[in-house]
Amino acid sequence: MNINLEINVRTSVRCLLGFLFLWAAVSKAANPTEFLASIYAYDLPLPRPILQLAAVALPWLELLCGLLLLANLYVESALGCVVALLILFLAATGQAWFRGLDIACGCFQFGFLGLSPSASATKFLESVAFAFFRNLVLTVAAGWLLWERIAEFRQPSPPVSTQLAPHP
Amino acid sequence: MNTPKELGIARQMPPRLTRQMAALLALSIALGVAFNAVNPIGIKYSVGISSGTPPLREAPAVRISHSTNGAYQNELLSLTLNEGPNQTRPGGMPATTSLQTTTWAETKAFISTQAAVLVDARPATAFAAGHIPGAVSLPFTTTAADLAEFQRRHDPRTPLIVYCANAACPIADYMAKKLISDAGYQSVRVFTGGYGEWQRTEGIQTAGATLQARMQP
Repeated sequence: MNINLEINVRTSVRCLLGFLFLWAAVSKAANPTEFLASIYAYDLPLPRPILQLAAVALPWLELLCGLLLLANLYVESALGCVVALLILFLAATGQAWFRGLDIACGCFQFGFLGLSPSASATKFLESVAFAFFRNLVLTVAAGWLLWERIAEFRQPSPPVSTQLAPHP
Repeated sequence: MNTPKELGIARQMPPRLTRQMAALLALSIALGVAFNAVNPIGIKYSVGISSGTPPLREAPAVRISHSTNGAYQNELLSLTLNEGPNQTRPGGMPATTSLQTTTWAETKAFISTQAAVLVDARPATAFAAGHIPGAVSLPFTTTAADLAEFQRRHDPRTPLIVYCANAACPIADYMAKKLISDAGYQSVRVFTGGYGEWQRTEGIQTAGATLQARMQP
């Protein structure tokens, strides 16, 4: 791939992930009990205190990772956490989908998009299948970005003038 | 030309990655716990425990579904006799955390005879968009003040039936337990089918009637 295009793609993916995680973090932190309720809906075989701790800590982890990605600082660590989180979400949504759990309880609205709770678009956006595939796409994107960055340590690319630019 | 690496500009090496990730995780937990502690709408660590009371042993949720008419007639009788299924011990702690569930037919019977108050645990916006007629909105994110107002209007002996959006929604259970432990209600049931089941059975007729009314010249 042309080096400039690759850098642009990497920057875009990094910024997209950063923004998404920031947005997710803020909306979860703003409604902690709703977030806890949505975690319970996944019916995970974990004790309640663990789930409660996850509900409390997860938004902050997402917030920190989002900020680091957008600021282009400690990107590998942030990406590592992002990939780990996304794999976790993938497992949770995957098992919910497999077990036929209806996590789209219709309680949380996409009101800001102007959708009513019963709209078919809302149902789709809240459906577990959509959540699973969205997470899959994000996991692949984050994983690719992380891989690219770590690969550079093992095989430093030949010096080119663009290497002096801040690494995307 | 020297690359940034050759110039010795610091870059994180993969072996340091795990340490940094662990640090991020630890920082998130610390921030999260601290923020939650001061957050007025934060998560209370065990459902319905106010500070100072000993922890409630969480019994496995036993769902007793009353599907025969005979059973719910007995229910109705026991309700009027003011003996709720969630008996309280002296000291106000519920004996068990098992919740009784109801079907729509039973719920309808209870509310039409005014034997119970129907509580909608969904967010206020969902309630405003559409709710079971006669239900009272008490979102699970309710403030202490609103809960106190609810308690003032409905005394603790009032039988309650809590519902949410549908059977997959855990909020009704959560709210029911909260009403038992925090507000001291003795008879709280969960209408598991929720708004979804009501819509499927009664709501369609209501929607049809509304549509018909709108189509009138």
